[in-house]
Amino acid sequence: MTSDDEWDEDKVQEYEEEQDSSYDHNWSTTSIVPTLRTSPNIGNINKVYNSISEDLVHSFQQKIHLSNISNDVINEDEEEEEQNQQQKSQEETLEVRSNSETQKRHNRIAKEIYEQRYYKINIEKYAAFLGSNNPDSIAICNEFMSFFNPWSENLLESLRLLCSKIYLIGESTQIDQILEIFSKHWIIQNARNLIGDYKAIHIICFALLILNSDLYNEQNLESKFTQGEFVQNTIDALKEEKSLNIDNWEHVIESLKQFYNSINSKELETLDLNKKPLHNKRSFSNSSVLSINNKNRVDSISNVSIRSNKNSQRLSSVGSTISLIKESKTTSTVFSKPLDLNFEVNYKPDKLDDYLESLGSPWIIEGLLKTEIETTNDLAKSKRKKSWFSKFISPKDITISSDLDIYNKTNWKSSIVIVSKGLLKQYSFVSNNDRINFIQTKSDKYVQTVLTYNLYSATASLVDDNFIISNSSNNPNGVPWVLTIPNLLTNDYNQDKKIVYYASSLEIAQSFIETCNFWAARITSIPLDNKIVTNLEYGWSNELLLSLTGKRKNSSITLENVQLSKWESLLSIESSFIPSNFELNDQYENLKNYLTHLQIQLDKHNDLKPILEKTWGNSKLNGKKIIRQYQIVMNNWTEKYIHLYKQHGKFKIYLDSLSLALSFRASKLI
Amino acid sequence: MLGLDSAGKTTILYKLKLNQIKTTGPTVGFNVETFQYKNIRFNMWDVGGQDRLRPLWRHYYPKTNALIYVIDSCDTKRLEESKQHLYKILKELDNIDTAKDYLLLIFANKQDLTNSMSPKEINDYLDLKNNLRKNQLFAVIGANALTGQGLIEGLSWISNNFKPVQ
Repeated sequence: MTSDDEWDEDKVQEYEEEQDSSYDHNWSTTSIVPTLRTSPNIGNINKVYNSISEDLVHSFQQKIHLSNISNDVINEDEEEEEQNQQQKSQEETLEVRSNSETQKRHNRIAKEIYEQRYYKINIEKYAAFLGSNNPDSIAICNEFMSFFNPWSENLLESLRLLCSKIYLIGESTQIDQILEIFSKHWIIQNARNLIGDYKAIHIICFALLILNSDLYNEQNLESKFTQGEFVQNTIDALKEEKSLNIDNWEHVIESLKQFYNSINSKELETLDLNKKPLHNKRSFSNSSVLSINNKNRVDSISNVSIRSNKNSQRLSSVGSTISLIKESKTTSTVFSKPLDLNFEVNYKPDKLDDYLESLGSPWIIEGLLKTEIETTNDLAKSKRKKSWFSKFISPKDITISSDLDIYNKTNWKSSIVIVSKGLLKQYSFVSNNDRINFIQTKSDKYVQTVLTYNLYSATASLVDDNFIISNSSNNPNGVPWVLTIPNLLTNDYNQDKKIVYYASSLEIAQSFIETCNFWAARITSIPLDNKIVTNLEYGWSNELLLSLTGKRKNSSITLENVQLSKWESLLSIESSFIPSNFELNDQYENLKNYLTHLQIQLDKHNDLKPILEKTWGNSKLNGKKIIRQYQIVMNNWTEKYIHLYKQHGKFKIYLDSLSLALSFRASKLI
Repeated sequence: MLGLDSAGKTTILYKLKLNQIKTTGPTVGFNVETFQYKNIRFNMWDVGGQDRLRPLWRHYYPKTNALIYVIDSCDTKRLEESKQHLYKILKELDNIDTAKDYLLLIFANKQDLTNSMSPKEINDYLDLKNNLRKNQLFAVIGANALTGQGLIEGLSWISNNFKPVQ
């Protein structure tokens, strides 16, 4: 390793840490949410907000508290009113005093914001702060606007100035409030403007910001505003505001045209934060093929860098760590390190992780397993498709179509498999000697390929659990177990990827299975256990069944005319690849709740079947249309049943494995 | 995507965007985001503001294929306000011919809090069934924008029921 590498690694680490800690920070360019719970970084603002009023509120409350106490002591029923009045007058005096103090404070904060040296809040959050819906923010925003005096007569120039002084990017409600205050200030000096009162100015400024976002925000894919559309849209809004008295429409239209041209040729410039570009949090793919063979290195990088096709953005995080790092760095020296080192799952660590890892499964396991090696042919095949991702979503050519097929495979090879920290890594070697050398030296140069699978949403099981085959106990390769990685993007169980391993004994196979399931259970995000309410009719809504059985009268719904939709499972957070953010114990509790929920759902769904058969299948009419409808309903029922059943099975495995792991952990705590 | 302030719109928006790289520089103005989900490209605007500003967003209404409305399931005090707000928007959309067949997805957000109303309770309160046009498809889905639970279910629902204009 050269010193360059070390430097790089440190940098990467630093970068990653920063990324992790500034999880929300990444969003800050665009927005902020004015509640404590939705965004941790708001903590700042609340703190500031508190500190603004803290002193006065504090003294205020103390006073009140004191007077309350005195009330308690002296107060008898007949004296209550008098006391209350006394208290009220105390409050009033206090308010007057604190008001001037507050004002000073507001002025100071506003000045600091104006000069961009209010350090309690990040500069890019000033707008969110000034735009918050509370008296302090409004007062500070008013003070802030007064620092611009005198405003230019030209509205757009004034707006440009405002944008250059504050990072005006964010939530519409906040922008709304800031622009309203701006409009009120601007109109004071430009009372004789030919457009209208502050409300008209407010509407126009808001329209100009929409225009700027529309024309320049690269995220906007809609067709851009034309001048005509912009003018018409704004005029319509002005006309709708009944309180406005605009006399000179021609002037307004002319101004809007000019504004449009001005923004169209030059966007509203924002305050230069002089910050390095922000990157999104790293994400992980479910599996990756990494070759550290010298000759293949460059190829393998392009294999991994599945985000090469920038036009095809995807919701799921099938971006890979490596490609992200690649983008964030100008040098590529990072790749001279074994690539797999960069793969990690961002799970919530436990304080006992390190210790438990030293004890082996289910925290960690490594061993020699026989696997079917993906040949260079396979790699070439996937490379031809340009995108590794496409290989992942259509894994038919690499998927074993049925568990039974594994007995017909011949290309078995011994690999070292390590399962830990949410990943399964499979090291394969050209020769046995290389393998032995690797074990002794841990040097990568002996490794032919490393396959890394993210265990997110995966399950492991003994093959013999599902299939009893006469010759399986005598299989010369050992005890087979299978790792199933679902294709989370389709919810199509036929597209699961299955990887079969052979362990030399049942015990070893079980340890691998336990470890895989433990990590999968730990890192997989658990869907929310709530019901979805929709008016899509699958054939079993309460209302429908009531009408069909005649329990609800005056209903016009009949078996023929009811519009049926096809039931399709919805993808959930599980398919997001976002690792669960829960600690071990919480993850367990959530799993338990979710499983209970699934169990109830399954029971209810099972109860439904005889009712459906009775309602739909027993029809004397038996018209063709009804038979067709009946088929749709029963297909819907089956689809949903399979979905629930599969989910239940999988999360049951997870719950059991976490339960075991937790008791193991507890036994080590004593 | 619409909803009262602090319903959780922005959190949802950026949770959905979380795993995508943002390459663009900052642009003065509103949050606009685009992302691809399966067969659909979502282009979302954070449209909000006082009544007098609402007509300005009308420019984008004809292109609406799906409306995502976010409700804070815990804020029972503002539930009525949220309901009024929703129907105001729906009324606006009804006046536009090209926006007739949009899907209505309601996120009953903040399901993680213990006093939150369930999607069913929200649905009953909104009384969608009796207030929407016939054949208008809707779904109320419980969500927790912080963890991302429910969000993909929502997009998935849109994706499953979305019929591209012929």
